[in-house]
Amino acid sequence: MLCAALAFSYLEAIVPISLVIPLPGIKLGLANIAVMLAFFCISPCDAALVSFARISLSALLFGSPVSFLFSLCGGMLAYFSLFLSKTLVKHEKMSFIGASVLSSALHGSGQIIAASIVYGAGAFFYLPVILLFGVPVGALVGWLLNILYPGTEKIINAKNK
Amino acid sequence: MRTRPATLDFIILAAVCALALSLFALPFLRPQGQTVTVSVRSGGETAVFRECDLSAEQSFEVKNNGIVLTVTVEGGTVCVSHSDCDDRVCVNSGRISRSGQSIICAPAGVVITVSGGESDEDISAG
Repeated sequence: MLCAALAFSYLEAIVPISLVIPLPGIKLGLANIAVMLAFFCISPCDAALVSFARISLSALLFGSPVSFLFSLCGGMLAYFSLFLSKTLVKHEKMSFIGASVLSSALHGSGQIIAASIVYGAGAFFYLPVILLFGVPVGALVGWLLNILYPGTEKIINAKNK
Repeated sequence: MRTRPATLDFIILAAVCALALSLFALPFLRPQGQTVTVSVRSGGETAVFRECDLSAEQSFEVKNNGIVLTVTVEGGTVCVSHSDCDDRVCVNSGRISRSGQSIICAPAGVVITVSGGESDEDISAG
């Protein structure tokens, strides 16, 4: 899962979405696919490891200390939303789309909070932009997860039997 | 695990959008500002580079981290009219004039803030 997460991060790093949407902080968040699959199919602990390791390696390979801090804050908030999401998805109340949009909103909020620590309260003016663009991106990832989950769950559980 | 879209998915989507849109409106609730403060950050330390009046028409350069920004104050607003930075978020931030608003150039480590103005209760008295 970590390899998948890192591969997604690398793909995002080399395909600049800034050509389509020229705003910093807006990204596809594809690595979340790996984290969420790990959370739902394997275990929350493993997902936390995948997330943290991916953030660290990504920052080392393609990022900077500042980007590490932003990613970490965003990742942590997004991670905690997964516990609520898992309960809701398990009880058939919502699909991965809602879970992913929640993840995306919290990830963006975490980044803004980190930005306000470094640059001051003015960073919050960017929050609506991050939230708004996070919706379609989160929905896309969620839609992909809806498709990927059944197959992944089978493979993981088949291995454990 | 549910993998088919449900009503709650759309509710969450709509809720986040609604939240974002209402946050866009917040700056318009603040009073018109009076003072422009330009802060620069280098090596982990933040210092005030310049402070001036929002009503005085002027234009000056700020250089930090090898990036040069041109700050322009006119018509009661302040903006970054030009910047060497890569993403130009600062330039695209447009004009600000309300107390509490800021323009940030992250690569340059420059923050331009507007403060002051009537009935601005956030500023400590005195």
